[in-house]
Amino acid sequence: MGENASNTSQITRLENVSDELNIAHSDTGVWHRVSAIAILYFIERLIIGVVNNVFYMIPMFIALWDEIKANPWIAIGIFAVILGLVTFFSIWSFWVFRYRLSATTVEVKSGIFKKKHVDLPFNRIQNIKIEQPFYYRLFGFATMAFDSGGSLAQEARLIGLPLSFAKSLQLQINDVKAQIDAGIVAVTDCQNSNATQEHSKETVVNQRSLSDLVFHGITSNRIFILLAGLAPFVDNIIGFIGDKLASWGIDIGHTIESESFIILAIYAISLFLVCVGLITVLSILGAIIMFYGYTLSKTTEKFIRRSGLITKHEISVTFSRIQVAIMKQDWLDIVFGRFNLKMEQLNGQIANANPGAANNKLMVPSVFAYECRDILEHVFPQHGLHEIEFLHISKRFITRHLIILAIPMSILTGILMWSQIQGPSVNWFYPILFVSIWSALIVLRWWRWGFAVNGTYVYIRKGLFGTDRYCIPIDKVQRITFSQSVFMEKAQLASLKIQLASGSYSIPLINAVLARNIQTYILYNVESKAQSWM
Amino acid sequence: MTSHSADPDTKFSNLHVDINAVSTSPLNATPVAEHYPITELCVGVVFLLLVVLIGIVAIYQPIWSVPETGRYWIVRILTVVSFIWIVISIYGYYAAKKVGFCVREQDITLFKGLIFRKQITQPICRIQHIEVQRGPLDRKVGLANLHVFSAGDITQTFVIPGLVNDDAVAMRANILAHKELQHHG
Repeated sequence: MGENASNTSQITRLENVSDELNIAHSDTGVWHRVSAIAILYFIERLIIGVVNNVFYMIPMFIALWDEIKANPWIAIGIFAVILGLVTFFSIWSFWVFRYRLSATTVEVKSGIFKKKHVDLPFNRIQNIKIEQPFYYRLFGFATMAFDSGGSLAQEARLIGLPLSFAKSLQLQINDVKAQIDAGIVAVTDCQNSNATQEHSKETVVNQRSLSDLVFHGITSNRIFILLAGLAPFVDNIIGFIGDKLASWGIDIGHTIESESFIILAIYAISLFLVCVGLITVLSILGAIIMFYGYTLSKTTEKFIRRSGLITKHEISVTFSRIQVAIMKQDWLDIVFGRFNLKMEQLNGQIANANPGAANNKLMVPSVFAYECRDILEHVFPQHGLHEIEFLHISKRFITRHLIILAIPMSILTGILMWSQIQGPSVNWFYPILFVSIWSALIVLRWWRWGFAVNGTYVYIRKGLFGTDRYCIPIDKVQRITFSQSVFMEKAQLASLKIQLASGSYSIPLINAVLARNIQTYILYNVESKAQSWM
Repeated sequence: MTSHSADPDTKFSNLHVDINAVSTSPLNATPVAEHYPITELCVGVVFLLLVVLIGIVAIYQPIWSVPETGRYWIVRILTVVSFIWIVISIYGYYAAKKVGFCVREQDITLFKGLIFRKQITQPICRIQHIEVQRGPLDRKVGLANLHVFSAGDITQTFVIPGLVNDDAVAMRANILAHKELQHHG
């Protein structure tokens, strides 16, 4: 009687749900199309696909460049053809996209040429994400992504659902999951089930305000990647700027020759500051677009991060899957006293095979040390990452790198001396300056490199101007490498490299006995407990 | 499983493992097959001879005459490449002699390197799967490579090269059997 009541109430609720869509049907086994607004999603996906592949078309454009210049209609023609094809295939993709809900499964059929039929029972769904690209937000629609958590993530996506329907469907699936998990059948009113609350209970752990995002933008300098992309065009840009200035009556060459050095220095510095200011503003804008409304919540077993200004993203990360936590601090972060907290799961290259699911990393931007402490406490209890004292590695690090520097430098010195004998005198100031700066950097890097071990974690600190602090749980170690060259053996030093599912982390040049002990201890822990690393 | 006490201080003061309750053998390297180093050396030398032969044939063949500068540069490049290749091959020969492994109850260790020596230890409980790989040449000389996979293996690999084929197959079977025992025992 209880089971019938529960099943009936489930079917009743699903019928109520279908009423919301104004689809009249007698049973739940009918395939539904989504709203036509899904076409926008397919268009976006195809455009991204085209843009990603545009690099392959560049040689064609270069080859046809002359013809295109002579006859610009060719370019417009190509563009129109691409646009037509995108629209055609988007509409076709929408037409073949269907879904079906039953009491315990969701099925999705999609694909024009390569037909895909995903059959996902609710209890296999690890996580449900509701996302709103900007073109859906305007109209109140959303995308639902179901993650089954398998290594070949059988992901089902429902696109173009009204937001209210998506949210109620999410709640229902969680209900059903809770019931299936708890084996509860004798429940007359599912809404009172306690298990539901457990699964959907979320508490907010951290939020980032606009000022935090501004700090993050100032310190994160993503824009240098963009500048690096402009590097091949530097000559054109300089030429362009030169022409522009000439048209305004400013002659750079003449100015440099005639003006005094101090005025030139002022010009140079102010130009530099303007550039830095521009870069910073762009970086801040980037940070705001990506992290606006940043909210980090947690359930009993995972973090959920929601953010985004134009497109709302949702990422969820199960606690047990997090392999390592990193408190990153660039030199600018040090000025503001902030950290970026990164928690990594599997190695990025593996996770990238899963498109659209940037789930391998979770980052909390621009937080204070005490916030890191609190957030990490949920994942790595008693981690102490924010306050642990690090031990230095051997100074041999400095000697080793100075020797590595010495080899090319001695060749360079030989060449310079030879050319000094031959002809014009060499200004020795610059090589000496270079060597001094490089040596100072080596010493700084040595100073930053530290390690620590306690009962449950291995800690590593490294960096140059900024510092990164790693918290590595010993239970998650996959493999460990003990390196000792012939020279290191004489000096009784050794290096350790600890490998986790998220990557490798090394501690170079420490006391050999200590390294051996750490290795033994880690092996003992991993092998005796044989705990799951995910 | 015996309990151990670990100093929970944040500062590293000691690693206390109850030695009386834990018995570990030290890591001793068992060398791989005896003919592995010489095989590697032969492969390298044969490959080099092939490249040099192609270069010489290219210069002196009667079909298409190579300009003088071409010959000049090909001869010089080939000489330099041969020299470097021979040095690397000789180093590789002695390094291959140093390759060893050590199988203990709970882990498997690979030893490699001549001057820059490494010991890579893989706990058996973390092994995801094991493969015995043999190239065409390996089949002729009766050698095999044991490739051990664990999580996060993109940049780091654990391969024991130059094993006698029967040994490799037996090791794989033993390790898999041991994993089964661990899971169900």
